[in-house]
Amino acid sequence: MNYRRVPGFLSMSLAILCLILAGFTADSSPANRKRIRIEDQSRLYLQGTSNVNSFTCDCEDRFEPLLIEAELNNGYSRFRNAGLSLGVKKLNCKNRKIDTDLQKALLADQYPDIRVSLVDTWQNTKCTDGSCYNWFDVQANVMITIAGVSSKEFIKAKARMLGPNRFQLRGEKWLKMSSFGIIPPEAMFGMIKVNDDITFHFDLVVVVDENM
Amino acid sequence: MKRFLMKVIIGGLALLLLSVVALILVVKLMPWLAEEYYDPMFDLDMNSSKGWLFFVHPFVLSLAIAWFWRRFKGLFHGSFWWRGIEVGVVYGLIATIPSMWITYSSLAVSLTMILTWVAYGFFQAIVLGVIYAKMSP
Repeated sequence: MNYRRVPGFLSMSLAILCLILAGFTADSSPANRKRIRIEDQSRLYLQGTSNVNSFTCDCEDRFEPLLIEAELNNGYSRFRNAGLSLGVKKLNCKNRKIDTDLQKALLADQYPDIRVSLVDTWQNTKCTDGSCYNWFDVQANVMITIAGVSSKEFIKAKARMLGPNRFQLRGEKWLKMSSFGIIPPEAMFGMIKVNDDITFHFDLVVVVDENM
Repeated sequence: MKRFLMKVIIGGLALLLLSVVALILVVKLMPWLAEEYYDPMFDLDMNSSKGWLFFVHPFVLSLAIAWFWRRFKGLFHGSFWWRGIEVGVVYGLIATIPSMWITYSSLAVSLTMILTWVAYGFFQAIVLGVIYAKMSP
């Protein structure tokens, strides 16, 4: 498995949370702009199950550094222009049939990208000065659009500082495919059915570029 | 001819029912084996252009065994059970084992998968043999 090129849509949106730790630290500030980058050792994957097995799909999409705007107020932050895209065809499940079935289910030809927009975040105010080298909780609201259907989702994650302007973010988000109007794939004349629940896992190392 | 075709259809329907039951049992009892079917090599999908052929297969086999029975039934002796089983074994030895041998040697399928196909081939032919031996002794 190749986890070296995995940054993806959810990871990027969650990575944006790290901006809070990386200089958006004023108690109350107007919109601020920063560029962020996700390092190659990061990992993003989704896990699902069927009635006969389980599968893991790595996100192999790669993103350019992202420029976003944020307003911060103590531990609360609101974001603008924090929209990201993930190519559905960049999901690698290590099984061509699952890959193609998933792409069909996600209507990849009609909606080639999964879109995620970060709305707002919360974290412990004690960690807004970038001094938390132990794991601490971060929460976020994101707007996820899959196959043309949007849903606002709440995400809980853990974060820690690895160094100046460098952070690690780890967590998972459970989703139901049917809540996005997606019919889970089937095989063997419907005898094998992929279950409705999928879980996105992320473990990201994020760097905030100070040279803006 | 009409009676012959009727036997083919009855045999085919019996096998069709058997094949659906077999699919269900594989998923329920051997999920690790069913997982092997989740592969691009298998096109077991009603939406595929060839999916319907899977359900025609029982009638093709039924036609073949019905012809075989009509042509060679005089060679088999004993009760209808015994004659049917013997027909199934003959078919298995002549058709199933060689074709599964070449399948195993050339395709990326497990030995377990091949053995289930061999067993299923024998069982299908025995079922048809018993039906024809009973209906047309």
